[in-house]
Amino acid sequence: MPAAAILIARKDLYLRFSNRASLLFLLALPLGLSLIITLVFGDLDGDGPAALKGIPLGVVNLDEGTAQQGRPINYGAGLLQLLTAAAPEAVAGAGAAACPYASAGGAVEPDLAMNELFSVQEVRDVAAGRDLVNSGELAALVIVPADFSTRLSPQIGPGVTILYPQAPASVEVYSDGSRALEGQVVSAVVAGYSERLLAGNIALGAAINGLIVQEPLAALRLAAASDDEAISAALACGFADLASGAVADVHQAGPVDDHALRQSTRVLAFVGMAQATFFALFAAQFGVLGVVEERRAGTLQRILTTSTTRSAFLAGKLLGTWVTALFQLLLLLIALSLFASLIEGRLFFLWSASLPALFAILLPLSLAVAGLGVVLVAFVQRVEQIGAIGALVNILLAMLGGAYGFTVPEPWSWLSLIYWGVEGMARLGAGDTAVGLNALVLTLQGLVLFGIGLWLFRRRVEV
Amino acid sequence: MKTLLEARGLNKQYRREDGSPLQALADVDLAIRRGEIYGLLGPNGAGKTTLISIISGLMAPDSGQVVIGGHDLNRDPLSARGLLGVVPQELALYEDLSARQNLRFFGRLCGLRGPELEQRVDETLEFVDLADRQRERASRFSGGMKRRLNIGIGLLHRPQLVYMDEPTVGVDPQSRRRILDSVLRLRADHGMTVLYTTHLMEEAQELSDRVGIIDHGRLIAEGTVGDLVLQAGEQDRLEIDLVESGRLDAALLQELERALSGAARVQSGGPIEQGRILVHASRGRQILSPLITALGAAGLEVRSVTVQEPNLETVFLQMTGHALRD
Ligand SMILES: Nc1ncnc2c1ncn2[C@@H]1O[C@H](COP(=O)(O)OP(=O)(O)OP(=O)(O)O)[C@@H](O)[C@H]1O
Ligand SMILES: [Mg+2]
Repeated sequence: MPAAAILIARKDLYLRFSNRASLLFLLALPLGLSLIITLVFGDLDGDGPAALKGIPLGVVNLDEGTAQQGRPINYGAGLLQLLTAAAPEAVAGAGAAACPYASAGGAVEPDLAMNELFSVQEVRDVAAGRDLVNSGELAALVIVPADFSTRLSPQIGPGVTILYPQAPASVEVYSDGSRALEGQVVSAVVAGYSERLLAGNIALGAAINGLIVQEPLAALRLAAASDDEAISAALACGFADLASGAVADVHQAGPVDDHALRQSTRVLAFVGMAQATFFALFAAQFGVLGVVEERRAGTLQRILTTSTTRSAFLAGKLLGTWVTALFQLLLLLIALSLFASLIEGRLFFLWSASLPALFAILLPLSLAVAGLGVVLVAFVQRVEQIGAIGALVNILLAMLGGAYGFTVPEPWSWLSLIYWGVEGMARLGAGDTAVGLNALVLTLQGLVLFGIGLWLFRRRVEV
Repeated sequence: MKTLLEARGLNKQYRREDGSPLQALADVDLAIRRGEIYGLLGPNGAGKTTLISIISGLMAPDSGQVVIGGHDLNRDPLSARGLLGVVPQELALYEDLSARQNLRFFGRLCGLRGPELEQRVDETLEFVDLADRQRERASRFSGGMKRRLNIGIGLLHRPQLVYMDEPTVGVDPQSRRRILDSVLRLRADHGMTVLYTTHLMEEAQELSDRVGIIDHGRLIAEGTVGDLVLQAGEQDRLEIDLVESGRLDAALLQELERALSGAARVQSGGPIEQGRILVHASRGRQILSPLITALGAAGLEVRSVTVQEPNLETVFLQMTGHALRD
């Protein structure tokens, strides 16, 4: 990065943050937007989780059960019983507190009794159940597979070998994309249940008693068979980490597109991140408008009569815009989190699964939008043109990226930085920090866009 | 003296709104010697700013070549531009930065740092007489103060060659005087070479070692003011107002010409009853006394006499057929 670029970026940032009007704009835009999102999508009248009372839930229990040491076991029935249980600590059981792993998958731990949280209806037929979700009658359908119990049970082989776990037991939570939050709650409860089946949680009820008898036995055998440290540590937690994900794979599916819009833990978080990405586009264009303003003020020309290259000038603009967009995005996310905390009644941060992962998305996302801004200014001459062309480009990208509720076929949506931004943020919202690909694609898009902008800018006969 | 700036065969065509071509520069050759003040004189729209834009590398010419201090502006733009300071016709500064911050920013871009930068900034503020207002934002400055800051920015890094594009437009006579003086000081104190454009004949005449006259994109004449006058074959012009026009007629005018033994051309300046006589002569002052004697002999009383020596204005008129200011 040439020194001139840093000088120009520093000057831009100084001007932006020292000027009262533009500072107000910088602050007001993200704050106002997050307030609007909160008002529209946040559940202000309900008091937090209580607002989720009586989620209409269907359960198809196909579990054929299994037998362990002569005792019949049906975990599916146990799940059904759990979902209709009256005891509030049904999920957040005593065993969970003792083990750091035990609550890893349970994102929501309602203070409510399960029978208040869900209004459960047993469904016999999977297809009929899906129809009920599609028609909106049910928020979600839990499909317990026939081999659920079998797969959750440790298979003790000949001698001391323990074949555990097998292929994951797979419970499907089929939910309506428009009821993301409720679907998420259901998933969390099911995941929590499956986990605790293996964590030796005593509070889960009679149906699980058989397991509790079995589990320590299995554990002892395993301990005897292995001096593997990882396994020993796992045993200390009552199999909890083996359980998380590996054993009970609760996967969600839905009638709407099930990959572009991964469910986040909060509706607010979901709407917020899509808005944040979309907003970043405008923020960046506002930032790069500086090029047009400098051209009009003659300072661009003046800078170019010094030994500053056009590339350095544009790089400076990119850098300043990048920092500004990042600042505004962060501000938006913090404000949204604070509003959400107010609603929830406790302080927490959305998307805070991992701070490095958050920045791994935000940094390249701001770079990509800044790069896009650079291409725009390389094209246009006047401020008004940026407004019009910029809006068009943004809408196109939003359409490609699926921000308008319909999706574009895969390879096309990949073109849109909105897609990568939203997808990455959605992962973070769901606690998934595997956003490397998103970061990579966004960085590349940013660099390529900047390259194109630079090429256009340098080709101009007249600056 | 060595040539510092050399431009050869510059052509530039713009497109008008209706798409028709407009030749803003046509085969312009320009050579500026180290240490001189070169005045580029031309009316509005003559192509002065276009020329400045091209020789500062902001705009590519359609054809032609520019070499500054031995560096080709096209092939080695950074070295060429490193020698330059540009004071653009339109203000080019950050209104939201103070005078000092503006100077610092551009100073840093030109590679100045630390105490040297601060010292140059101080000197420049002193030079453009803004030291007492240096912490104020440029947006609070008067037009003249902004112009001075605009000039200061172009001079801060002590370039070898400075382009000043009509720096006095829109300032009061006092500020204008100050600007003109500062141009002269640039050369005197720092040995800078200056290319100064103006549409004002007096400025070109006062400042320039050499003047180039540009009109409709063509450099039509070049030289010292004296050279140009000679080149145009201009004569002194005497304007004589009579107390009364009573006896003035064509025959009398011819008689006067004869009395001056053909050294001058005598005409009536306007309708004869106005009582004004115009005399053109190559040595106006020398014929003044015989002329007044002859008028007295004819019984005509002189109210006033104005002697106008030829200037760039008249040269321009002569060469282009139209006035500099229209
Ligand atoms: N960007 C442009 N596009 C089209 N025509 C232009 C452009 N810039 C200048 N011109 C035209 O080129 C001609 C020369 O303009 P230029 O600005 O070089 O004149 P100038 O000598 O600097 O005039 P002034 O004394 O008014 O500043 C004018 O006719 C002008 O209208
Ligand atoms: Mg001009």
